[in-house]
Amino acid sequence: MTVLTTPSDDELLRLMLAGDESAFVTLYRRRQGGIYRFALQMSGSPAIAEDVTQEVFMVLMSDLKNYDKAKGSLSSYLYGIARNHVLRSLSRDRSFVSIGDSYEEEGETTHEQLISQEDPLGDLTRSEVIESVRQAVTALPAHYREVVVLCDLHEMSYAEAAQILNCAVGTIRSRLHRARSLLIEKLRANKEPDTASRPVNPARCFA
Amino acid sequence: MNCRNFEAIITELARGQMLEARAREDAISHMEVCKHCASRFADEQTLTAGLRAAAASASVVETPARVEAALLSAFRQSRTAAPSGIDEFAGTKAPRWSHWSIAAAATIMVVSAFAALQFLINKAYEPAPQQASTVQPAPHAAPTIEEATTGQAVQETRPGPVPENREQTSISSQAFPRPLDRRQGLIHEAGLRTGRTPPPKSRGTAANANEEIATEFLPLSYGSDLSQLDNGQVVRVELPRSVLQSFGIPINAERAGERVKADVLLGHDGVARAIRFIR
Repeated sequence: MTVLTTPSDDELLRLMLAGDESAFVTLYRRRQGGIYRFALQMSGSPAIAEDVTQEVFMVLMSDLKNYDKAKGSLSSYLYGIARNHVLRSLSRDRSFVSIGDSYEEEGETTHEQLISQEDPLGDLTRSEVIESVRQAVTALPAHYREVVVLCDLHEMSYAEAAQILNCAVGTIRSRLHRARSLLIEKLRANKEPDTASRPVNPARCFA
Repeated sequence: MNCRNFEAIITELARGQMLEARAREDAISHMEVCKHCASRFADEQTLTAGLRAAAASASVVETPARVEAALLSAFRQSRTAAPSGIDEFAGTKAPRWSHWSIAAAATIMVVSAFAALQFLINKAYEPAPQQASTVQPAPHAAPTIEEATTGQAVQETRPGPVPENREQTSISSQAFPRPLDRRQGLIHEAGLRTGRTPPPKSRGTAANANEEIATEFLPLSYGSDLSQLDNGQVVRVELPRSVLQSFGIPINAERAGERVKADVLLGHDGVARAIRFIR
């Protein structure tokens, strides 16, 4: 009986660095989708996503000095490179309007204000939901957007996201919580334009 | 559980993450009595569903094929340039001393290259039997040192009798100094070379075989009148062939790296006045 094993990323990387083209192709095909989608969801631009993906694998080919597998997986390393390139591209282009950090300055969201009276999200069709969510995510400030993309769209754990973003797990957790609140507000505002100007103040009940 | 505690775990609850059983039960109990938190939880669940739908729809998105083609091409090129980069793997950083060893190796290479160049230059000035027969050495001549600088090998000269083969040059003025004693070798090896007298050969035969063809003397500075020069020295040098271009003489680009012989006419003040090229 033969046992078929899938080579690990590190094994493929070792083969690739030894000049094995098929190892490179396998590694690329395994990782390109996630990197491309991350860059696309972060930037909203297929052109930037394409450039970033290419750049990430060029770095993989040419410069591995900064990769230390003791610090994290190859996947996290690649996401980290992609993130840096995306943020650089976005700071250059500034073609996407974010919700802005004013949300943070105005204080926490009111519990009541997060509650919709008519369940506006519920009546969206599936494609509308997807498009609305995609736009709302793209409109988030970058530091919230990246957490939502990694944890919710790429289904990474807090620990993995923390590794990629080089911050504490607690930071990821609090950012995700805040980002999701902003997304709910944004989606509601899209559905009910008159509620967009509603002030955001936290209020809590202690039932 | 109060609303604040509920809010603290609502994200994990809505995302279906692992929670303590007790905390989950408390949260569910809280939602039964708090309409606001129940509604808030409903929004979170809807958002989670929306995000998962967005993630599922995006899961089919892939990088365009041209990116793979471009990367593959780059990979092949990089493999050609550097056959193996395996040492760079897994954060293995080159030890600090390796930089020094690289620097030391580079220094050794430069020194070796310089020594080899010196050797080749000396070789080039080894007295060839034919040359020795065409140019009459002046036994009385004491060497005058001309330094070889910027890759130009300059030879020592001394006024003396004119060798017959020099009469073919187009120097018209008899006032010009005659090409004289041609001593071989670079300055710092002059002492060694003086003992190496090339074996004598039949002068007539050698003269026919090694007849030199020279251009006219070309003034090195604009407007200088060579006929006014009544004293000076001619120094035989070797120059890169590419120098010919600066005198308007066409050259073969493939042979630009080769060297060409030339006689430099120095005035009594030591300033170079003219040059002629020898073939």
